[in-house]
Amino acid sequence: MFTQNLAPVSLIDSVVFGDHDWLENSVEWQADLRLELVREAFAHHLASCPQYASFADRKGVTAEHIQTVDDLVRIPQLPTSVFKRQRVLSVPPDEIVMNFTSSGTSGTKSVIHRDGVTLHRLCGMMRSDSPLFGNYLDGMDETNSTIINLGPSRSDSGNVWFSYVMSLLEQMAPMQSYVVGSDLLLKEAVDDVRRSLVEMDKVFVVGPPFLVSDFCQEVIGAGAPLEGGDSLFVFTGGGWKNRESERMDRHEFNKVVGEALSLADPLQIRDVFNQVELNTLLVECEHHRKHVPPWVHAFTRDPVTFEPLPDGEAGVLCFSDATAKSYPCFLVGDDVARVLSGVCDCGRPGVTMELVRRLRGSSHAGCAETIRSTVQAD
Amino acid sequence: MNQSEEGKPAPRLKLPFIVGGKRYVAPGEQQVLRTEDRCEVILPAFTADVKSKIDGLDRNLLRDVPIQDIIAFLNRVGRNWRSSEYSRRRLFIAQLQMVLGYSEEAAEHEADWIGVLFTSHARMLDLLDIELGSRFILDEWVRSDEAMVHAYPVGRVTHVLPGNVPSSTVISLLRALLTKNISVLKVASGDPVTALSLALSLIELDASHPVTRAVTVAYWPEDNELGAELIRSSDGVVAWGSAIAVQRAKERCGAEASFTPFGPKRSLALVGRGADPHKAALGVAHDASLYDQAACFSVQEVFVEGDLEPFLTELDAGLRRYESLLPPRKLSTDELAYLNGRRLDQEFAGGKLYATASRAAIFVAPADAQLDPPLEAPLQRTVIVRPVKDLVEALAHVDEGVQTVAVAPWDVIAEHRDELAKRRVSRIVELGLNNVFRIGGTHDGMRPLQRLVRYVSHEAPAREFPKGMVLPLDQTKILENKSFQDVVF
Ligand SMILES: [Zn+2]
Repeated sequence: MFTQNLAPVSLIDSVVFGDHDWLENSVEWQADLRLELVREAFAHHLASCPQYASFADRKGVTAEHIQTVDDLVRIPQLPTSVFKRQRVLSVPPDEIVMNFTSSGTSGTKSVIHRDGVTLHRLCGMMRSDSPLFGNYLDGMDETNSTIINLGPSRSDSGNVWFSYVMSLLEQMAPMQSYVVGSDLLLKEAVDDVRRSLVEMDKVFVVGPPFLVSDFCQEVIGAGAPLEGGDSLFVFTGGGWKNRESERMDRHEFNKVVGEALSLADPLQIRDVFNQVELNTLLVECEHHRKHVPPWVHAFTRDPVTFEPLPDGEAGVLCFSDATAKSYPCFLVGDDVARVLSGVCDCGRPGVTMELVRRLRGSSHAGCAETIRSTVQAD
Repeated sequence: MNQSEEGKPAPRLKLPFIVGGKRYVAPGEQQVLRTEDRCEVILPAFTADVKSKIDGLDRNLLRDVPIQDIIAFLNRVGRNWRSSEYSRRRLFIAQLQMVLGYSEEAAEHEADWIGVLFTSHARMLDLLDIELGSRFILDEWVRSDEAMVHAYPVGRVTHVLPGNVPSSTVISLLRALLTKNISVLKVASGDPVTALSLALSLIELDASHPVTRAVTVAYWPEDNELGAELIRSSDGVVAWGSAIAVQRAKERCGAEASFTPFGPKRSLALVGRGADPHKAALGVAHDASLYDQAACFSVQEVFVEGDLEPFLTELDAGLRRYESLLPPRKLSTDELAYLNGRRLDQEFAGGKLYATASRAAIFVAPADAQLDPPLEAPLQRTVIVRPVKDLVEALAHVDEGVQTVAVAPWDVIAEHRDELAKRRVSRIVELGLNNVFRIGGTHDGMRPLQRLVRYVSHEAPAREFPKGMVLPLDQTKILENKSFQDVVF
């Protein structure tokens, strides 16, 4: 719906939509491109978002301060909690087309307001030939592939960002969605995978890990083996939500899923990193590292000082994503990760990220009130 | 991030429950509490066996024990705590550091408070006089106009305790013992140490003393049904801590049981034009450093009238001074990341970072800063300074969520006292004294001892003329003569 009449004009659009493969270029080339894209985004948000501009002013950083790749860490970043309580816009409010929230049921959620351009860029990444996916989706097309979505369809995904993102995979191949209301139609999904494996070259099962785990249990429970072979692919994203206690480590997960679905190669299982505040998918390569495209600057901060950490040191994962036009996507995230620059073991040059764990929020077990109740005048 | 810190096994501490003054060690099942990445505490599981043993305790155990005996016993316990040689005290100090991340100095200070509170026998009697009307009323019938009134314990009081303000546990227990109740101290996962240390110090002094046997210490997770049943069958519930914890306790509290909420509150300071910047800033530094701002009486915001710069300079120095007097709690990596995130949020909302010490930080909030709801306060010694032209401007930020308003100079309070009271604050104190609850003062709008007793009245007989009458009370005669209006004045 956002793909019409929007010709790629800017540099960012030419990179997101263009078919040149940045992975064919060196680490340094990508870094230079990153500097240009993220600096341009910084200038845009300084000019268009008064709250952000005044924050940057208090931090004493202007666009002129960003001259080299090393300066990118100086771009003032926001904690995600900002989006839990207020609207932060870099476009006029009437340009916002959707307000997204994270999934999950508890706590206050972030709300991210996206305009057509921001969503359009996300859609632009969702193509099987995008370097974003490495060569995971090579050979996938509308005629030979099908997607089994363990989530709601796009029209049913409402404002839940993760569901929306996953449903966009329908741009690549026909998709069936198996979450209706609050029900997951597991039996139907398993039956359709069996049928599709006969009819199609490639079958993709996509969903959060706990639903993929349920899917595997359904296959095992059915008694009849499902022969995934080299035709079945599993694409996971998101966390374990309220089923955290069932969390499997990645190795164990791959083993359970690989065995249940008789996959020829565990590399047919890939994970993607995303969060509602981020406008880009970071997709895992053959070596379980998540590759960061040149429009995103990812690095880590020392949790103690919040100062940027050198390459490879575990810390608080931070992003600056140039594809977000409607809000300043300069974030201090909620995960611990390592970010590395160089040539990945998979052979692709660039920046990669390895997630370590989620940060625990504060328990605030004391009796000090930290959130003020609304002040009422007498 | 230090990579060796990640995944390093946390030290383990195995602790018992105390049921009716006896150590309870579970044979099989266990609960493991992880306090950040500092420590793993292993406790017995809260099983049907524990619950039935607690249910079997005599709720009237202390009913007939004279107040003086209770206070005398507490005094002996307190004297132990006052001694730096006392092994339980030493263990407590070590455990506060290990489990809660306290500095040694702050843990020592906490142990000192236990000693002071337990030995404050004269103040305990004053407290009974003030809150219950007489210090004899729990021991005997006390004349109360045309009645004799005797206060009795409500029975079994369950305390839902907070995680990181140890002195709340001490105060909660003392109030219940002083009103002759038996107590179930339900510890928070963040602090299983304080309640257990207190109970063990009673056992060590005299395991058979009724006061010792009146104390039970246990832990169960929020969703534990046996724990919920225990709360439902309690005669009184005292709930401390987060809004969610207090709300849950209230929902589970029996309809006829007494409920005493000490829910989340915040506190603030007013610094008037005439204040000595050094004294005022040191007061704020004290009130914001104690418990690293986790207490309801911790000052989070300061409204400063007049010249800001001298106050800020002094505040910076004061916070640093308190970092050496009472060094901050050791925080986990995640707690530090969380704190940094909240401070960054203050900056985004318009706060200007004025200074940081090794933990403490000062933000100055201009009038246009959006620091109001629902921005979360960072705590951990983060002081938000709001310059005002007149202290009256501070009133707009005061609501029922404010517990204590600390003021300097003291005389400016006369001007604002009534307005603050109308806005439902519960205490007004001099700056630097937030943690000192004076005799006669109230706590969160209450006189809490009153909630822990039931009163029985033994009223005057007919031959005693009721007030307003000049003859004995003969209701039949009054009805026959239709003289009700004539005899009652
Ligand atoms: Zn790779």
